[in-house]
Amino acid sequence: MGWLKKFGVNCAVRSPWVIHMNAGGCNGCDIEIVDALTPRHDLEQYGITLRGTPRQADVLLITGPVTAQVAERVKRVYEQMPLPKFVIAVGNCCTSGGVFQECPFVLGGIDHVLPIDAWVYGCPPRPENIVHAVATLLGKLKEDLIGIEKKEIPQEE
Amino acid sequence: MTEYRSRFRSLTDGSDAPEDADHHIFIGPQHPWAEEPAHFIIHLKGERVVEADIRIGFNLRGIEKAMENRTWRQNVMLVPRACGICSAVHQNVYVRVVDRLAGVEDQISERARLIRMFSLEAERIHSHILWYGILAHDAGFDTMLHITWRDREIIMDIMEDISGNRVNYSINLPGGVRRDIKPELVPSVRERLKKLRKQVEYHRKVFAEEASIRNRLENVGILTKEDAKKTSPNGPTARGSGLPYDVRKSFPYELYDKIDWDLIYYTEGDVLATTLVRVDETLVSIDIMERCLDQLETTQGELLARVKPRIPAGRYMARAEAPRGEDVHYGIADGTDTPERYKIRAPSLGNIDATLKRMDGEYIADMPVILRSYDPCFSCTNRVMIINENTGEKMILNQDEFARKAIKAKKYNRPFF
Amino acid sequence: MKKVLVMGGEALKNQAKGPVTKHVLKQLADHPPPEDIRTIPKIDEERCIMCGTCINVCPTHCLGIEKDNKDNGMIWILRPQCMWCGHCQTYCPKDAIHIDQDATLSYTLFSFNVRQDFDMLVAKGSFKGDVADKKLQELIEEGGKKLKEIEEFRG
Repeated sequence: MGWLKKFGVNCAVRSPWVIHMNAGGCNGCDIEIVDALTPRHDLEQYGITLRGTPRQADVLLITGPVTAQVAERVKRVYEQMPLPKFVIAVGNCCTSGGVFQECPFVLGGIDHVLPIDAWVYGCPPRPENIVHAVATLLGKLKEDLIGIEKKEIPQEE
Repeated sequence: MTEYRSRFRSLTDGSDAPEDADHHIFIGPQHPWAEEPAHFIIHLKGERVVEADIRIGFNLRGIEKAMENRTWRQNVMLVPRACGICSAVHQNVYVRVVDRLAGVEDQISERARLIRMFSLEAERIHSHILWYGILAHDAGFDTMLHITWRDREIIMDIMEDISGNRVNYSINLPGGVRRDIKPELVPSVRERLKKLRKQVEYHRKVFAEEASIRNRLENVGILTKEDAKKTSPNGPTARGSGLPYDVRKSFPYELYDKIDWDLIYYTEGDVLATTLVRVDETLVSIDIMERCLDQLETTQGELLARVKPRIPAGRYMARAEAPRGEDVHYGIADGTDTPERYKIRAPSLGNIDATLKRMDGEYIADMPVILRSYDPCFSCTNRVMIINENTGEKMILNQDEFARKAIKAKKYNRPFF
Repeated sequence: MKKVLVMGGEALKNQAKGPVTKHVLKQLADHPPPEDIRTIPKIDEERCIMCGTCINVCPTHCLGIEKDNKDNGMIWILRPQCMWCGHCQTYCPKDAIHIDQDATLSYTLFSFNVRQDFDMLVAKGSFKGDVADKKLQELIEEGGKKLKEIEEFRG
């Protein structure tokens, strides 16, 4: 049923539904994500909505340096999302810890916990940057659908 | 004094329930209501709330410990990242502590102080507009979220022209400010402030007179004046219940005692009162910003005084009025270029008790509105957890018990436990 | 009845005005970011004396230096770690490093591979050319090794 899967992935890529989670951050990047949905930079004109539950989402937006307590909850939320799913890390703290890199309770970047598809730089990044990054990632994924099939089963227990 | 059962008792499960509760529900670290991870445990009887409890600590990044490994100069950029919404206030208090310890407090020019005040008031405006937009969204009135956040872009554009970034302005430096307000920007800033004032007056009309918002917010979660005195909130939560306390009037800093402005407080004590306190404070802040611009035209001065990297030994405590309440920092210097100990107490910690008291006896459906009413900022809040090694028992102390134990330990000269 | 008239009037007014939101590219053309917005630093080669103050003052430790004397040396940056604070610009004694030169970087900075995103800011004198390229390759390989370690940790 190759064409059915292609059709499903095409739908997900055209109008992705987004869920947002804060993994121990300072809230600067979170208010820029919510700001991307307000009338000035309107994400909803591209078909992107912010949902509350991971069962209904395609794209996970993560902010903040991952603290020791939150790491387990982030994994649980990722496992509850249905395939195909993508993760975008927003902000400097997710890349390698940012300003908090040698702090006692910080793991140092979200790739210690999840596989990530794209990173957005900034402290905090502008909403236009976030929109640009989401659009480019989706365009890139649409071009090589084969790459998506390889990443199917996550290796967590 | 009537009996008041202290909160912060249960740790992860709801097993420590009061007698007349039927069941409990959790609001976990990932929730459509919240942007920050926090864990609430609510004990219910039918649809009424009997008691509520909270568990925080997901945002614990160890900032105070990390500050001891970096120099005083590098910490100027670490401290505002404790919270993204009230970042300029944390940086301002840190810079005032360093100024006083280094002895350059008298050398800071009036122009630098006016620019610092300008950025502090701009932050108050953007934080309050953010808050009442999201409160309207929680109350079901989504239109106001879009209208208020569209008007919030005006103040963010102003600060972007002046400081270079929309959030995290980072203008304060020890000895003055980093950047100047150029004279050719001032006319456009004034025009935009006028437009913003018109829009905020429209928002106030909506919140005070629109029937659908008043039905959700009026007479919900009443905190009487006696309860407020017992649980000691600070900031707009206290000013909405009749306690007229504001750090800018009691312990004035920067130039707040030279500029004329009003203190706002209401006496009803419900959620609508705290809302109107914040909306009126936004209008007062626009006034203060315009007066700063007037005074900036006539004052000149150098922007940055020289501060050496090594700070002489001493200790100092400074406080400020953040948009959420009273922000207190305490720093100890020992003559080298790294701090020996630095302590931050953020305003949201003091407001939690008052809000949990507000929820007693209310319906479960009013709960998002009440939890939003004290403007929670969990990234600022931190707490002490003590583990007894012999018995493995975990204990969490709230503010009262901690103070009582500390006073007894010092008075009778015996260990803390 | 009065409420219905007021609501109807507002609705018609909003219909006549047109939508508030615009396409992203049009939005950028109408409200471009200001000229001196803060982005990644750039160093002016003639003015830099390789003193190392910017490396000591950076709060995130994203800059690195290797030098012989004040005319031969190189400085590199780990791009995703820089948080655009401006301390290097404030404390540089010769005013050689600037962070407000390029406004288009504020909305185009994202990447798909973050542990290997190094950039050589300046290379002076004998370090120009081959030496700088070799160092950059070394840094990128170290980044690749760290990436593999993290993937193993993740399991």
